[in-house]
Amino acid sequence: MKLALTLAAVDPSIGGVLILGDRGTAKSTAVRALPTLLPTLKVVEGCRYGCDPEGNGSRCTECLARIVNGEKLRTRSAPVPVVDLPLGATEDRVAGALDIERALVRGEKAFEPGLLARAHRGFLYVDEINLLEDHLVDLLLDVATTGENVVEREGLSIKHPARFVLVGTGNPEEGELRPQLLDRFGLSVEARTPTNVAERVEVVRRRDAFDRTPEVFAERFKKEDAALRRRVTNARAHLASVESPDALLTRATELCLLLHVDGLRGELTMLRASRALAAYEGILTTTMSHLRRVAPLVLRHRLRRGPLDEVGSSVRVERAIQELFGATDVAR
Amino acid sequence: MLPADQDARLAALLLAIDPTALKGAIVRGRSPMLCEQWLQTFASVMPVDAPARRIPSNISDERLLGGLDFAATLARGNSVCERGVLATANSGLIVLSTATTRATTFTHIARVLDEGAVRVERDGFSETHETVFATIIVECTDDEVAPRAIADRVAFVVDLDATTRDAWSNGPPREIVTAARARLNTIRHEDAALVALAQGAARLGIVSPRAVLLALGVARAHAALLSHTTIAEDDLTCAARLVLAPRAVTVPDTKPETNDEQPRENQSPTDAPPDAQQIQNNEVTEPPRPERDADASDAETDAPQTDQHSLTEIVVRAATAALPAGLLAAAAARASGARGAVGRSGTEQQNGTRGRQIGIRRGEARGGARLDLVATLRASVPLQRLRREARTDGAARVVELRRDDFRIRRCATPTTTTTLFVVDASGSAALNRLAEAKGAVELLLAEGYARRDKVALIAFRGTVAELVLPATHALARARRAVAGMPAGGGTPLATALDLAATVIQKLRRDASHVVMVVLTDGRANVGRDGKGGRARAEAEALEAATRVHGLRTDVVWIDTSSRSEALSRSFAAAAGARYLLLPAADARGMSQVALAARSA
Repeated sequence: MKLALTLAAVDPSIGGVLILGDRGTAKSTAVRALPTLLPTLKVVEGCRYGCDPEGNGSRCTECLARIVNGEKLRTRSAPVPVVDLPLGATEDRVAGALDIERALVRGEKAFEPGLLARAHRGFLYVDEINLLEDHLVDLLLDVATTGENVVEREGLSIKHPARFVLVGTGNPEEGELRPQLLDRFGLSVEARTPTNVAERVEVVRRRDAFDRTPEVFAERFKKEDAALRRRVTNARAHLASVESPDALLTRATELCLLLHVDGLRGELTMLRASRALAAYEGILTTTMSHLRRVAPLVLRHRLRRGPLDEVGSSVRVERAIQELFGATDVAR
Repeated sequence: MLPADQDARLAALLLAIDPTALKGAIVRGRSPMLCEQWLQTFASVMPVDAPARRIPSNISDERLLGGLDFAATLARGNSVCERGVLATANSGLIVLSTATTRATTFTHIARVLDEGAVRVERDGFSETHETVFATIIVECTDDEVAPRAIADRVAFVVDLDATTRDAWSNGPPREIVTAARARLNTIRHEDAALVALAQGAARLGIVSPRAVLLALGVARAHAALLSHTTIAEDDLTCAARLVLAPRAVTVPDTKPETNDEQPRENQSPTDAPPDAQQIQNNEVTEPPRPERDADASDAETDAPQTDQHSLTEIVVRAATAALPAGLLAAAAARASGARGAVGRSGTEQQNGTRGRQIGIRRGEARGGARLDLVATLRASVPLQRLRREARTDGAARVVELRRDDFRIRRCATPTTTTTLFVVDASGSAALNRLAEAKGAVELLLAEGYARRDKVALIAFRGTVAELVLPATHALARARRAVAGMPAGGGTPLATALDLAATVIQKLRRDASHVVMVVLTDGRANVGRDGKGGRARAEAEALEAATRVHGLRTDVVWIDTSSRSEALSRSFAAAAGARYLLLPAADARGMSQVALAARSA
């Protein structure tokens, strides 16, 4: 779980992270910890959508207008947004809608950006994603595919960039996830309760300490958090220079073929994820060991499955890896 | 006072002392009056001004979580956010009934319990309302069980059926609770206590770490109640009994290695004077550790191992002693058998869609359509100024509404179909073609998956019929339930059909279309009273089938015997069912008939 979230933090283009697990396995807690590992972001000063000053990809209409007007865009740094999408959210807050207050007071038609706008260039977190209402899922799918949010309602016609890493958690016993949505996730993990008593005691001890004195607790882990953040920042910086040998890609493809994974997203994501892992470890070339470690995360939710199989079959992926790599080939 | 009485009273007290950590209670009792009584007891120990909110079963998300307050918004001219019921229940309690409450409501509450706040992302607001409350869930019937997601989060399960009412209904004075609350933050615990609870939970087969956390909270509240300064042994036994025992899934193997310590499971904690000597001793042998030491990875207790063992042993014994005999048997069965096949566990309603609003559209509130006031006003808002200026008669209106503005709610039409399987697992059916019937069910499940249907499963054999799987979308669970279904015994067909009728009626309440698929060889030989006798069993089954027919639901009757029998056919006819002989139809043909029944 930690690995998957870290990889997504290093390289957002890997795609989202899906965390499935039993009750009380700290799924949500792990995601909430994300902001502490993330380096800050440069954004256009005064931009409501948090546009990238470099303009990589797309800018919002407002920034474009400012550039056309000859205005010089200033930048400021902001924390990477980790936006929480609660189940009870209404569509107008997710996509954005007419700003009621301004309309009421001044009779103006103004657009109030929603959660998608706030999550631009950051993370969008949906707890209990398997229970999210269908029309919100549709909305997320649309935006995740195109990277922009198009709002056509109440006489408004607005388009703004919204590229985010989708992070979903859920308990598979409470409902199924739609296949289209499943496919959007780059990585998936299965959260399990530690069965070792000492580990469990530590979990409870920390949680209890946090509940009683959150400040003291945060202070205690401040150093560790900062170290992690530095590592992620460094990893991002030299992500582009990480090389992947062709043999690795071949092996990734073999793995996908062996597991009958549809489409090419599996290979691509494995490549990206192993690169992100190498960068995180400060190594400039990806190795089979990296591939081997990320493969289960990338593949377990992509296997073609019978309608009644449960989501994520770590066992099948593990078996295929064993077959291809050999049990002793690479130490884990 | 019976031990159960004390526990009911103690749960109320402890919950009132620390609602933040203990979150709430599930109150179980056949009599609603009794549950009501417990609520009053609980309210009487909560602070005087603590708000108490009842959550009606059909509450909208809007009221539950909060949203735009239109009256205030219009009056003041800027948007005003109204706090939802959960936010207004801050530092008080909420009461829900499992029987009718929508599954999504529980999901929202679970979230709020986790975060200690309501996150409002609705109607143009993005706010966080901090709120902490005790959640009381009332279970008055056997078939309505709180969703696991909630059951996992609240500390107590109060079973009132075992209690005598007069014994617990008089709560102690509120002052005791107030004083205990004040002491709560000063209570310390030794690491050994926490380890004992965790080990105890592991021995009882409890997976969720929340249980240990809640147990620790209960021990702490109990210590505060008894004016302990450190969590003592009887605080731990109390936590084990109230929190761990109801969650136990395995019967712990009692290890013989510690017999030096007296188990104290039956000691009544409220009456017991704090054993000062004991606490003193503990403090001497191991000074309480401040939390900041705990991050050392080797923070294992440095108390002698035997002490740790005996403490764990005490926790396990206390929990075991509190397990009712029946539960032990069930837990043992569960531990040895298929985990997923345990039905009636509550998550079945997670995807309830009754009258769920899925959107709005322009239109007028005619023919049952409900006007969406917020959306209507929202539609009119941008045009207010223009309209006001365009008005020539000079009349001042608060809102200028036009017919164009009307918006109505688009509600989710009840399109869920639940396929209810009634599977004969009797000895005679097993002899015939139970395996094939299972295969057929799996195939139907696969078809159902494509259409995102729900399935429910009733199995009957011996003298009983059981709802093995309540309506669920989790088809993987359904498959496991079918695969793990044991077979043997008589054929209580009437009992099964009666149960099916009850289940159908309940599903109908949730606006679900039900297709019932009966798989049996029709050799009814056990009556409703569980006694053998073919003639009476057949007559009763016929009557039950007629009753099913009265529900006007689609029934497919699949005869699993090797050749068509007049008797089976007459049952099918009585139930108004399509009759199909399994040998004549392979599994696929069968699923087609079922699908046809649904679309009919």
